[in-house]
Amino acid sequence: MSSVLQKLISPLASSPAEPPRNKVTVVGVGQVGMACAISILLRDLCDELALVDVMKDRLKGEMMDLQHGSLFLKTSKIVADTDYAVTANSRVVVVTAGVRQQEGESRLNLVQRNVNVFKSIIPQIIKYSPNCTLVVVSNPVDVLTYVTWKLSGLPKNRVIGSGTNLDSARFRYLMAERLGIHASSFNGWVLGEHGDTSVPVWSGANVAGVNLQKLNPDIGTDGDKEQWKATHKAVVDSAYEVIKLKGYTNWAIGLSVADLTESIVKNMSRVHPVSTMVKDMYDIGEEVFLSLPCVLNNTGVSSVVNMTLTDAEVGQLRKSADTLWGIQKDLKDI
Amino acid sequence: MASILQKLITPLFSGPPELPRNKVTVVGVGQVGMACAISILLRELADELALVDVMEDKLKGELMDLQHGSLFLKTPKIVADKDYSVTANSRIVVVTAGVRQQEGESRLNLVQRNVNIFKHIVPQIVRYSPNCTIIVVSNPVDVLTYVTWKLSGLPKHRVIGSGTNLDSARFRFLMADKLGIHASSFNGWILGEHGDTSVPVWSGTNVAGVNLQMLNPDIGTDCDEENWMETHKMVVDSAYEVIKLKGYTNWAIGLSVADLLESLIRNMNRIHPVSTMVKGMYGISEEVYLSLPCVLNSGGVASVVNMTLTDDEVAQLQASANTLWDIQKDLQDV
Repeated sequence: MSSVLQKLISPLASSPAEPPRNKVTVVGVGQVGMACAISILLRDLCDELALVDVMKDRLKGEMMDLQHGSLFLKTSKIVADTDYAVTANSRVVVVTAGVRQQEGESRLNLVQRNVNVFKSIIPQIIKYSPNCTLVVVSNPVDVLTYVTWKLSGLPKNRVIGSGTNLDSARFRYLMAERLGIHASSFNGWVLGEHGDTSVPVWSGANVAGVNLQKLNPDIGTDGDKEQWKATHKAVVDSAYEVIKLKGYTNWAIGLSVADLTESIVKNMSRVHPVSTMVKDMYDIGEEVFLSLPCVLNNTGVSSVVNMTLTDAEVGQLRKSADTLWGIQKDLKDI
Repeated sequence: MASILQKLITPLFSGPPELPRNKVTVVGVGQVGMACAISILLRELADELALVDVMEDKLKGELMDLQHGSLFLKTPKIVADKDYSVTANSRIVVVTAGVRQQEGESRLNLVQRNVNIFKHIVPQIVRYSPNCTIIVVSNPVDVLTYVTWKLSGLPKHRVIGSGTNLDSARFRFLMADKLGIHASSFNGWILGEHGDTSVPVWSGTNVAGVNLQMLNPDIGTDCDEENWMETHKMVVDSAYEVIKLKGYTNWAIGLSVADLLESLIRNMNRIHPVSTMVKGMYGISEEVYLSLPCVLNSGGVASVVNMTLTDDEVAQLQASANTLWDIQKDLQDV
């Protein structure tokens, strides 16, 4: 007797299933990885989502929980495995794996711990998705994006660090709040290191094209009566503060990663502050990754916007580059 | 000297700000509450989101993390406080507060612990949003929806339990998966108790109107060669399994709550299996809440669909009603 399936449905096409066109993999199913996953799913960005982690039970549980929401989603295939074969043919791979900052710990302290994790992850990603674009989120993101680039053998346009995309989003939110407007109506860029030495480009901060520095030439300096600099400090302190309050951050970074993924997958050529290889820009002589405004599309970082920075701002970028190179030069086996 | 704000922006309208029109409150910022929150935000359902909890630091951390994502969202006001005044003027209040199932624990075991919490929460909700619709998610959801209805003094159409909306979503996913189609193309309803005694209405299962029971009259019975009843068993076991693997479930329930919210806020008159007051239906004589297909719109539960159930299915509903009433009758001060 034939089954319900046989009686109900007559196949028309007997060719093998087509490979996915917009597959996204998220490596690491911790709080950040899952926030990236749910943001990507709710923005309908991929036709297949793969999850990878070393913790088998948690991985399976997360996969099942997402699959159970399938009725409400437009991503019809959600898979997960500890074996990277499940990630094959990904367009974008988001790397959130690794250990996270403890309360009070700086991002740079995490570095060697995470380099070792990456040595086992990156070659496997490339093996199964040789043409993917990698978005590195794990901290310290600028160093780990460099490490990923080295371990992957990919051209530099295909390896992006989430960088200061989040810092800029926080900056725009906090600045906009002070002005009573929405974050998307405040234009401001935070560049350089994603961390304590990020650079707020005050000279470019504007609303509707009205340059804030022209309205207040002291903006961002210590002598500023309005103390706008405190807003950038709040951005730098943000992560530490949220970690102190709830143990980790995840929602904002997840949303910001989905934002980057959207530009890549939809070939939008939007400009985002992300971590890219900046050697030979701003007289930086080393192979370091720092955030600059990058045009993102389906080739990854297709180009970089040349900022008009003040000498002080260029100085800060170079200083970041030096700090990062100081760490990178001592890393083993990459 | 004028501030940047004064130089930049000239107010036109100087009256008090308008009240929100689509404010949603989520009570409880655990994993379920936050999954509801992020799903609601990413589906752009609210113009204001309020969070409440007793854990002040965690609450503030979650608030900040969501606010930092403002650039990527269309909900311009996100607030949080342990004081319920922050929830004033909500259209919908989602209650996820309370203790959750431990591994292997049934939902009914949680009941008295959660009743005591609700005695503190529900009157405060109604005090600040007397015209709201309450969606109860905390388990055991059917009993707690009854408790909420009693404590709130709201008419029954304004108090909804998330009920078997999630069970039905899981059922539709698992059944559809076996048939190689998307969950939204498989029609099937699970009713009654959200829990071990939920009722899969096999007589109504269909794809494109083709009734599965007509294709296989044994469907859902023990003598079914294809063992379709196992799929319903998997639905019942789902939560336990995911909890065993990752410690809790959150994504699927969050997505399903956002789905209900969409029907309420957008006045859609969509039909969802949710927990409603069923006294007088199917020979049930007690005031219990069970899931039936309900038409949801901006007034809450506008109406209930009269199912054509088999005698056996009706008996199962009555058995659930008895189980639930057994627990409810012993509750103190409700």
